[in-house]
Amino acid sequence: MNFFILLYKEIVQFLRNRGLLLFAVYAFTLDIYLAATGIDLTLKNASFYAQDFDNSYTSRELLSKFPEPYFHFKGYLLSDKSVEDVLLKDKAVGVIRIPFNFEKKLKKGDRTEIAVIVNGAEVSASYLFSAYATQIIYNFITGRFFKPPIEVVPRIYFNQNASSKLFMAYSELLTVITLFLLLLPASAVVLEKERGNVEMLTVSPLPNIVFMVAKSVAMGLIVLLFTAFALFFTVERVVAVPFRGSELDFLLLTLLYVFTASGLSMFIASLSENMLQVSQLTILLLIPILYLSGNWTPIEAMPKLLQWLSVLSPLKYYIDGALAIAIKGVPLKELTSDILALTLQGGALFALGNYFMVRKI
Amino acid sequence: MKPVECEKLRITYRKGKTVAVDNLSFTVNSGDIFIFIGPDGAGKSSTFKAVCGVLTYDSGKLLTFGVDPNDEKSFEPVKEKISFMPQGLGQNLYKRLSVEENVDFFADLYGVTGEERERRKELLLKTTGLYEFRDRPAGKLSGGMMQKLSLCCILIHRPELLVLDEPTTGVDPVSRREIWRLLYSFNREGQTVLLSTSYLDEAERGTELLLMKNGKKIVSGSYEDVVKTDSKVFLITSDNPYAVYQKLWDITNTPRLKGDTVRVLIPPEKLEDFRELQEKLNFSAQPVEPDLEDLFVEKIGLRRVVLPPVFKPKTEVPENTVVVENVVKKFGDFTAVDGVSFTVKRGEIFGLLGPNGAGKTTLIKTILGLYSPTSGRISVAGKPVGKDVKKLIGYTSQKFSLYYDLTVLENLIYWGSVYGVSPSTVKSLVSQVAPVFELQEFLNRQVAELPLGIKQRVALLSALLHSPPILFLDEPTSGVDPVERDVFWQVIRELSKKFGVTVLITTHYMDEAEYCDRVLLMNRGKAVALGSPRKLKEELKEELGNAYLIYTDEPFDLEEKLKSLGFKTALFGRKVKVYSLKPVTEDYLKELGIPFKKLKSSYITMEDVFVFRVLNDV
Repeated sequence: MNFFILLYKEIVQFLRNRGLLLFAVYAFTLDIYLAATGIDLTLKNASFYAQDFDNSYTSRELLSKFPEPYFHFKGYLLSDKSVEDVLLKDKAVGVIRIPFNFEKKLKKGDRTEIAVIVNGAEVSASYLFSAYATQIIYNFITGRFFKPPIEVVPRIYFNQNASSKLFMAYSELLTVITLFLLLLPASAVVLEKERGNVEMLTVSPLPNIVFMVAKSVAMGLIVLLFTAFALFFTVERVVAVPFRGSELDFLLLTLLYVFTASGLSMFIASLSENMLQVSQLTILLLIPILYLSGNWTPIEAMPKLLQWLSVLSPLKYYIDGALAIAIKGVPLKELTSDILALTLQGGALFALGNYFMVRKI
Repeated sequence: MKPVECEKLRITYRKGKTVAVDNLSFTVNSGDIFIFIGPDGAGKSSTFKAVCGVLTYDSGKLLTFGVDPNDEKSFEPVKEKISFMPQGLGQNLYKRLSVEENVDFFADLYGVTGEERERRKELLLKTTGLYEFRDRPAGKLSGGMMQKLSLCCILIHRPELLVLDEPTTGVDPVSRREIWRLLYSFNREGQTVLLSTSYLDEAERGTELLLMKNGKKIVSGSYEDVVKTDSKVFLITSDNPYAVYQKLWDITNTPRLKGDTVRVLIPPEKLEDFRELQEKLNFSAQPVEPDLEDLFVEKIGLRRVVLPPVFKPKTEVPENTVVVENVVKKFGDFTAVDGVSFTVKRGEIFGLLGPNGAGKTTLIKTILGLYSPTSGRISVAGKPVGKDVKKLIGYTSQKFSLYYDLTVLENLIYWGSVYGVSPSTVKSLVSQVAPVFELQEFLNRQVAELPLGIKQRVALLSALLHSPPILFLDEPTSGVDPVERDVFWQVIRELSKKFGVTVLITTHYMDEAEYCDRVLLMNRGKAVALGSPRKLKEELKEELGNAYLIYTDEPFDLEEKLKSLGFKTALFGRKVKVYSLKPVTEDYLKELGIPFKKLKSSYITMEDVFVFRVLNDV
């Protein structure tokens, strides 16, 4: 038996499957680009109104400190009714309310209040709006009226502009890699099931495990090639975010991850009879893996139970390691704990997945 | 107005790249049972779809009840008069509804209500024998029953024209005869039937037939007009039929080896050569009536296949190559194989025959170790199937097990390496046998683009790459035309007779039994009969006597009459096949007071064997 023939066949079949090939090309290029540039975690063009009862020099000065392009000032409101109205109709993310005698009280050193009313229906924008607004008002007041005894100066390492582009590009790349590692080996196996070729292979002297491993290896190779392409072309050229570590390290770590994910893929294959079931199960498995990986929400912010479960998500270790290499430039040899976890989990899942698959045939 | 008039019909797919039907002309008269015969891909389905307005044809003239089906608006009212049953078992049925609910649904659909509906429903369900199953969900019926129910559903509104696409494919012979009986009784009321089939032996059942291949008409007309040839057809019996068969190729390209007989067409100018050969080899040649297969073979011509010795197995297997003892295979409470025993000898071609769902495929898969038997013992090459036995087996499954997105050569190299044959060995082997299999021009084309017959040869070749001493073939010839089938069977025969390869093959074509040394008839998981085709037919002949065909205008009355006189009968269109231990002569019929147009002697077929063995079994 010639293992290279088995690999060759899988790769040729993948390349001749136009639909899947196009999907892969799209996912590793345009999809990452769109995610990186389209999804922005900073405030942009947030419309707001002001209810300025003071109408003094200071109050107008304060409102002028809400800069474009973060904010977009839409005008003044008078009644509380109209405040409710603009928020209800989603005409604004928030309203700034300044009370009577605001300027006078400030100058006298009396206590006064500014209300920031936000539209909670626009979750992330409202959250950012109130945070930005608080910061602006605080800076305005401290700059003009009194000096606080301490000054807080944040400095961001690795991503100086705190640009979400950087994080989104890598996060999407890792998601796409996971998706394809789950999808490709399973669909390659199930296609053979659907066509009845698995029977033929079972009758042949070729051990089923060799055939499974050939599929995982071939699909892993394909994903690795696409990853390299996405890294050098999509991420570094098109989205143009910096890559600090060594690309080779990144690919080596991905290679380790291939085993883990294709083990899971074999589970999917062993449970599915047709392509539809493969896609359904892939989504069913992908969502908890993504969620528990901390890719969407920091693990520390999850409920305790989910924090414990997150140990199971192989993506967690991969993300940890991959982001460390890409964003912080950490060399692979310093990521021992992630490598160890991935190897252990990968070895176990790959062996188990293939074992189940072989038993199911 | 004629139900269908068609002139120079042309239908293409993929923007004209694939021609499905070309220059086809035919006319279906009112009251006809018009049969389209041809292999898969001949263009039968496309023609039927065009007739029913389901598919738009490219050019030519086509009128269904005087209206052009391409003209959707004016064709709408014509659709009321037509019932179309697409290919496949029970395609138009709702599997979760009961038998009765299905019929009711179709009745409602066509506005058949009240007493009329109940009356027709009862009549149809009773004639098809489905009445006692009327509460069973359609999905739980057997293939034959499903097909009968499909027919009931489309017959409920008395369409004027019934268009049926392969209604009998994969249906067991008993159900097949019942389906034909239903069609005849429908036809008797004056309605027209247009039907397609890939079984050549069904040709005789219609009033008109049209033989198609590759989208073109080969012949058409009534059976008696079509099946006529200047050549003489002989059935040869000899002590060494294989030697006779080989010599006959020097004279003609029509010999077919069937069991221990050879069937051949000899054109008049070759008769002298034939007589010479007969003297030399000393065989007896009985002149017989030509049948449709003879005609097909004469029109297209067969091709001699001689295999190079590369396929000679390197391993000896024991005399009792495949032993099956009392094998039972259950899935839940369903028994797929029920206590089957047989032994296949080394070098034998052993056929497993039976309809869809008879348990053939399950049995083969159990022998191969894909399923473990519920009880019973199996050995292949003297051992239970394990890794070292697997190397001795070549196998093709029903679905041909080729990768459609790979080329022929890529497929062969892949399957070769699965069996431990190196790519270079495969390539040198392919270069030797490609001319024999006529595959040269296809080697670098993707399998998806190839015609069925070629796919079948590639699948067979892929199972032969490691020169296995034992071959398992699961329905390898479904839907393939007689000429392609002949090539296939020649290969099998060469393997078996020259190289001692043991072949176990399943088929639902009863006529293919003739090519096997021995056959096992299966029905509903049970073995119904076992023996050489000749022996099985002779045994039945001893019980039933000779077969005769009586031509008549009133087949139903005639059959009733014959039955009341104690004869065993079968309906064949406007003919009644009758079996009698006493010789039936014209005088004898007159004496019995039976009216007839013509009397012809016929013969017992494997289908007869199947039908009578199954009926006795129940």
